Amino acid sequence: MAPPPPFSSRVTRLPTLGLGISTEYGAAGVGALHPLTLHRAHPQLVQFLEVGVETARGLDADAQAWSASRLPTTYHFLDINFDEPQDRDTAWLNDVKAACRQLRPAWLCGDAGLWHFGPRDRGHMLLLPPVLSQDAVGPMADGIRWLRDATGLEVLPENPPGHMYVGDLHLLDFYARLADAADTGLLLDCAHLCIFQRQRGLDALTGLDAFPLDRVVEMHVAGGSLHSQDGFDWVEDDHTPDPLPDTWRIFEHVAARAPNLRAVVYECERNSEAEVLPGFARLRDTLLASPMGARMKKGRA
Amino acid sequence: MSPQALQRTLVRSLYDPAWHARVCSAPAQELADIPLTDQERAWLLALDARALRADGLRRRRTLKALTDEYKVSSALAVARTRKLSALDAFFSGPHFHCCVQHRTAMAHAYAQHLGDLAAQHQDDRLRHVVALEDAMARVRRGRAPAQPSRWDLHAAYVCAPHVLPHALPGGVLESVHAVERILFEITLTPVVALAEDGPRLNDLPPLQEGQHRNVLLERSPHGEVTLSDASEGLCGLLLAAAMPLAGTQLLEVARHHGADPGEDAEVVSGVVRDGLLVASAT
Repeated sequence: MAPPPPFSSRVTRLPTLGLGISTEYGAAGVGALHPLTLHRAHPQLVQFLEVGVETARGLDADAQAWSASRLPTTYHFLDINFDEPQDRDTAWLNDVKAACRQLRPAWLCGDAGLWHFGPRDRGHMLLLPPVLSQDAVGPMADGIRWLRDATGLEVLPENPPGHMYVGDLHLLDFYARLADAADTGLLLDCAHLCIFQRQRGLDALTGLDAFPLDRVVEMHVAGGSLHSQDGFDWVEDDHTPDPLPDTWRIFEHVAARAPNLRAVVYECERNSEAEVLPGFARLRDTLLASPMGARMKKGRA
Repeated sequence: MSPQALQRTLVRSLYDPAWHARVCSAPAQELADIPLTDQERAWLLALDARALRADGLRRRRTLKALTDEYKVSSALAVARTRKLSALDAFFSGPHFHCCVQHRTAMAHAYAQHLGDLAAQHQDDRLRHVVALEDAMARVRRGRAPAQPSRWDLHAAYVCAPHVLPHALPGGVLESVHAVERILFEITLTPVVALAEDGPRLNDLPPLQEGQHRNVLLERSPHGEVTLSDASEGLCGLLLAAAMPLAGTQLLEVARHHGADPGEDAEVVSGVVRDGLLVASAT
């Protein structure tokens, strides 16, 4: 069998989705925004839906209503540890494929970290970043290739949040190596990167000069809250409507330089419409002035 | 394998910062069986203990998921010990640490913890309810085959993953229903849990160890676990097929439980047709 074309070729076939919002199972039940309602009110601000899927729960009414309207989606996994071969089971894969048939996502994406310990199970939702070492790259890349081959869809690993990071690599260096090893695109979460940089005492843009920005297909932007306890400072990735200034810096820096950027998600679904509209507007203004903006203006998003 | 082993020690540290403190004091002892490189060991020891405590609700969130599934046995354990810390101690105990480091299911590790509490307090009711809820947890994770297997005398069969026979002493199900009623009452008005004259688990039906009831636990296509009375013969057949058994052996089991020669094949093939026994992959 012929090897698949390289990412640099595959990425040209990916659609430009523009600006979107995320949802998870049951979010509407706890007061989150209704994505379809928001899209209909602001079609230029909410152009696609990123659906967080835990296969054990399936798709909720909001996700089903969106997919029934045949609007664009991406599939954000919440239950795969890429580096564990035991996690690559047929039953899970069949569930993913079934959800994909319904959602017709442009690609799969999600945090490449530790979602659960032990076998996949209810109630974990742990999400730890990977050990940032060269040894951890290969097994994770194997999992990404497996899922891409099994679904025929691009699989974009995302940098997860964390209160602590272990290993000798910078987060961006780890994900650059991962993208190279799996020959894949990336989802850069600007808020998560901001958290890492603060933890390490680094400037928000540290490491981006050597990062393969041509691999960045999607970005996330979200608010976070500052906390301090016993002299330990950390950022809670709680998706408030106000991204930290450094998150905005990262987003604006990368958006201006990522030639293959196709989609940006504003993770803000658990806030009111009035609270999130200014953030959407700022994101859109930035994107319209970026390389992705040219494609958006052509009406492809 | 080494980064995964390290990752698991991180999980243990996050859930049990006291364990991490012991690791820092005696790394050779605490990490004796864990394949870490010197570098990885150094990273683990260098963790900021304050970061481990940043998420103060980590244990409580996980405990919620566990007590949702082991609802009645968790309630009985708290009623017996009068301490929530009896449940919380799971995260500091050997069953939790073992399940994380060896990648086994946390739910069953929690059941082992509850089983230990039952043994410690010589509480037979708790022991039986833990066994029932753990059996239900196993069934909940099993999936019915897409279609029933075909009956073949020379093939091997095993109990389907979405069913499990279970034997209960008299009074266990009645106790479960009584506890569920009280928990429902607390759900309606949570403040009653703080009241001295609120509902208490004092007058539960007595256990009747000599009177066993055979039930079949079965996961529905929608994921709920149902419990129904089952014959001793059916339970015996399914229990015998916990490991793969040849069709000829299953006929012997059926005859042992009272099926007449000639009727045995009809009985076993019927159970296969119903999807309760499935062809073994091995």
